[in-house]
Amino acid sequence: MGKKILISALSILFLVFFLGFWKGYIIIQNVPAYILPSPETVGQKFWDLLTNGTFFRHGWVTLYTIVIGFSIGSVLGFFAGYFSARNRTFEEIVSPYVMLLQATPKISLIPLFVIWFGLGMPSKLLLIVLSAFFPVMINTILGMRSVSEDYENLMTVLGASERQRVLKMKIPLATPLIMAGLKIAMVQSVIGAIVSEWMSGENGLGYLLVFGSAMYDANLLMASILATTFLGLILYWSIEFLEKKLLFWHESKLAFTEGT
Amino acid sequence: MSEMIVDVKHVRRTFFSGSKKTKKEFVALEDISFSVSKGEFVTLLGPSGCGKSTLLKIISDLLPATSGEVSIDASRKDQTPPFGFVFQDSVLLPWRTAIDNALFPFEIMGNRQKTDEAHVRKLFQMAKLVGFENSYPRQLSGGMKQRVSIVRALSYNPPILLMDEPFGALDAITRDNLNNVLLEIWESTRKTVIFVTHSISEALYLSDRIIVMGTKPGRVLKDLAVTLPRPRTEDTKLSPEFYGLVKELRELLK
Repeated sequence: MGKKILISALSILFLVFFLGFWKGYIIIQNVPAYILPSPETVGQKFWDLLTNGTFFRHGWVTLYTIVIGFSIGSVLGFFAGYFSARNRTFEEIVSPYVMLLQATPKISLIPLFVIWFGLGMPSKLLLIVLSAFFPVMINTILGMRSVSEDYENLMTVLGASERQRVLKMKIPLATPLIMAGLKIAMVQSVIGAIVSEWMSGENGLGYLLVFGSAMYDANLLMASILATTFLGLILYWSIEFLEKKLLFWHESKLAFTEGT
Repeated sequence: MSEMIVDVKHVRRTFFSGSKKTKKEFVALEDISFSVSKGEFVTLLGPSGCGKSTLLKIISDLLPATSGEVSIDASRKDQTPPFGFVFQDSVLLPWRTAIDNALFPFEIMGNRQKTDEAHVRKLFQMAKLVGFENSYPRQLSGGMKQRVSIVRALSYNPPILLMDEPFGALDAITRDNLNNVLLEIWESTRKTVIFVTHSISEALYLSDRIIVMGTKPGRVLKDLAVTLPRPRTEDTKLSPEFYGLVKELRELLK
C-alpha cells in the first residue's frame, strides 16, 4: 500500500517538474507568448473555453461524428470479418485487396473524398468508417480463427446447430480479440475525425486547431490539443469499460484460487 | 459374454500430406478391429503417432473412416448423442461458472433433452467439486477444470464416455488423484469407457482391457485383458502382478 502512495506521489511530482521546466524555460529564454504561452495561461484559456461552451459546441460535433462513423465502421468490419472467417474462398479472393486498402493511409484519401463528396459530413464519415473498418475486420477474423479445434469437436459431439456454434461459442471466444480491434479502431477514428475537420473545417475540435494555427494563437491551439486529448481518452475509456464488462472472465480479471 | 456396445470392424484411415504434386498417402490406421462390451473400461494405449486419438474420433463420428465401419449399439429413443467426450484440454467456456458449463449440453440440446440438474449436482459430488459450482474456470486448477469437463460429458447421461488423453497435461500427483476420481465415478455409473493414453501404468490401473497399438502404420499389437482385482487402490500399483504387466507392455511397445 505504501509503495502505491509513493508511486502516485512521484507521478504527480513528475508533472510538477514538467510544468516548472516549461515555465522556467519561458522566463530564462524570454520566449514570446505567441510561440509558447506559459502553462497557467494555457490552463486559464482551457477553463475559459470550457465554461463559455466553446469546447462543448465544437466537441459535440466531433464526438457525434466519431460515434456515428465508428459505429458504422465497426459493425461493417465485424460482419466482413465474420463472413471472411467462415468462408475461406471468400477470404482468399478479397484478402489481397483488404491488405492493400489496410496499408493505405486513410488520411491520404481525404482530398479525393473532398472532390467526390464535398467538404461536409459525408467525407468525414467515410474517412472514419474506413478507419474503424479494417482493424475490426482483421481482429474478428483472427478471433474466430483462434478458436481451438476441440471447441468445435465439443459442439459437434453435442449436435449443435451452426447458429448455436457461432452465438454460444465462436463469437464469445473471439471477443477478446474483437475488443482489441475496437480499441485500435477508436484511436484511428479520433485521428480521422480531427484530420477531416482540418480540411472541411467549419466546426469541431479539429477546426479549432486550424483556426488557432491561422490566428497564430498558440494559447488557443494548446488548449484545444488538451481538449482533443480528453475527448480521445473518454472515448477510449468507454471502450475499455465495455471490455471490462464483457470480458469479466478473461485473463487476470479474476483472482486465482488454489486447489486441485 | 456380455452385450456388445461398440464394434470396430476393419477400420482403415489414410491422410494426405504434401502439396498437390508431391501428394503422399500416409496410413494412420490399418485394419483395426475390436469390440467393447457394455460397462467395460477399455484403453487404447500406444506411443504418439499410432493413431489412437484418430481412432477415438472415428468412433465418435468426428472423423470418417477411409474404409471399414464402426457400429454403436446404443440407440436412444431421443436424439441425444450416445457419447460424452472429454478432450485433453478441458475446453470449458470461460464466461460460464462450473455448474453452467456442466449444464451447457442441455442448453445445446434444447427440447431434445430435459435439464437434469439433480443428476449434475450428484456428479459434482462424485467429482469432489462441491463448493465450486459457482467458480469460473479461471479460478479453478487444471485438475478441477478437467473434473468439470468429465461432469459435463456425463451430464446428459450418455451410455458411452470417450476420453482422449484427458489427464495428459496434468502433473503426476493430480493425475493419480483424477484416476481415482474417475474410477469412483465409473464404478457408480457403470458407463462404457474408451480411454486414450500413452501411460502404461495409467492404462493398467484403470482398464478392464487394453488395446495396445503400434506405429507405422497404426495397428493393434495386442488385445490384453487386465485381470487385476477391483476395486483398485494405490496398493494395486505395488503388486507383483502389476509390475509383471508393466514389464510385458514395455516389451511390446519397444
